[in-house]
Amino acid sequence: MTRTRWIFIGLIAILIVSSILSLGMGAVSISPSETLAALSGHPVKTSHLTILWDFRVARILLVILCGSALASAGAAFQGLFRNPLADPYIVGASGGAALGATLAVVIGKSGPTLPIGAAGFLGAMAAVMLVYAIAEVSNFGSVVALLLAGAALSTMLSAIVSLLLIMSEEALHEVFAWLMGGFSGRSWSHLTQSTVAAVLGIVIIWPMSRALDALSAGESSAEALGLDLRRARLLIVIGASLSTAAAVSASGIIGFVGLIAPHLARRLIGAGHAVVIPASMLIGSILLLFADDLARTLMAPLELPVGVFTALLGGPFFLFLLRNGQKEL
Amino acid sequence: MLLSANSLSLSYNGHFVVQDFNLSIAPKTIVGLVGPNGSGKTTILRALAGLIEPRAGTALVQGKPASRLDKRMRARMIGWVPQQESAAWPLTVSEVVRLGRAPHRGWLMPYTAMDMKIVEHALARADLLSLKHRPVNKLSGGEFQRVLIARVLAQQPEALLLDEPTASLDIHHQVQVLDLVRDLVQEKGLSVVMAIHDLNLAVRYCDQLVLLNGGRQVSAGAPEDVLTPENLHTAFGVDARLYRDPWGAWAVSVQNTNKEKNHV
Repeated sequence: MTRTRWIFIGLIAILIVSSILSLGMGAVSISPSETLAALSGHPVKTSHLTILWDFRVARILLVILCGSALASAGAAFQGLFRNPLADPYIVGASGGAALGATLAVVIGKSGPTLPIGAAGFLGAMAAVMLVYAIAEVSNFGSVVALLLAGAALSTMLSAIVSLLLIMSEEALHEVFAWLMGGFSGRSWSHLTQSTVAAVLGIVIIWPMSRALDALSAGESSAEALGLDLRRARLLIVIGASLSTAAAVSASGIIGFVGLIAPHLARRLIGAGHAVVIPASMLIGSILLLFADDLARTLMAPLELPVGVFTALLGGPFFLFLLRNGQKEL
Repeated sequence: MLLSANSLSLSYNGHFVVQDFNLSIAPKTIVGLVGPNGSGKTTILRALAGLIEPRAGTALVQGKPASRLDKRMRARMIGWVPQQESAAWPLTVSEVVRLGRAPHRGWLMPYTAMDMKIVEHALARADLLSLKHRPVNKLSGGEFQRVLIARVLAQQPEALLLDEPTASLDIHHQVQVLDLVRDLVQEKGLSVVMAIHDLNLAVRYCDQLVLLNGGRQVSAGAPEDVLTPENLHTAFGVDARLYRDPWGAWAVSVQNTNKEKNHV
């Protein structure tokens, strides 16, 4: 137990330090001591104060929120599917979000304006619900059906997105930028929008820890231990989808964080979901902070999409996992 | 009567796997399901555990259909141990055994000191204390089997459904696990139904046997009445008979047909 406690203390410390460093990074660089002074209410340069409070604090908090949301959703989906390669988008969330956002942009050109983020959120939730409904009435009646329905629907949705984009060329750039994922220009309003859904998702997922542990033994064994499979599956899918949709609506589609964070957490702390889920959230936040720092500073003042960096780091990691098989996970 | 099956018929993908199966289990009794591969033993256990819906007839737990009971209440009464179980994640032995307390504690409340004591006791009885911090995916087949036994002990059910509990064990642990089951039956008055391949273990540990063939009941009753040469020939297609071993217990011997042919 003490080892677990030290790991959590260590992760929290890393998160705090990297948050403070990240706050200082950007077009105007602010030293960590000045950042700390500003945060604790001591007098600093007014322009720095404005930069910190009006832009960077909200952005960093949003990065942490999205990292936690994606990581908790990843841990939940991996547990539900009993598969280390599952990720937050596996049941069609990203495909639905992409379609929602694309529709918002395409419709916005000639009709009422819809916020891309909200449309992405609605698209993600709608896709997940559709996938879930299909899986429930299918003959498989199990997580395999969810997985298959998610894959099938995602492919269809991305085909529709391509079709829409081809038919209305001018929308391309806006949608493309959003799909790549990023925190450029995000502020307090994005944070307040996403917090409710993300926190709600996490509050549903974490209490499912013991159920997820039981599912590790397979559905029949979990049921013989008294788990109501349908209810547990539904709650896990709802919680994880809310978290995913919250992250998607704030920052577009950011891959790999939700895949990698739970793996690192399990390596570090063991496999019990009660600790894996919070550890994944901390690790996901730290990873996304690093990725966002790189995205902001590498080609400053130009901002790169953070999704590019998570994919650049996550892709090789994913391949490494595949190469090493599942026995070590 | 805690567990009973009345003209139970079970199907899988539209095919009948078990037809017209009847059973009632008294407390303090071990009933063995024997029969060749594919005779429906596993499916019957799953139906008694309430994990599958009968096609016809009923599988009853305290007079109520097993598959309709509240799942947690059912899990407090019936412990089911599958023949094989995989572990998706490297949970430790004690984390897995603790899940046996879930039917009592629920899925949210923290385990109590009492739960931990019960878990510790279950680990000790399954000879797992030295392995309790080991990830379950690093165990041998026999060690994992004992983890499943420990988990069902922590579950403290009134009836045990064991699917080939000794299949992956060496002879020492076969005897250890079955002795443990017999002790529990004596101490706590448990009812046990187990599918068991090994006829020698079956006659030695079971109070009653049900011989199955192709999903139908061939015979049921005391082991020596069930395992007659005729029944064994019908079910398994071998010439075999019971005899008293050097310790005076029943054992099964199969005639070596190859040798016979060679001599003739």
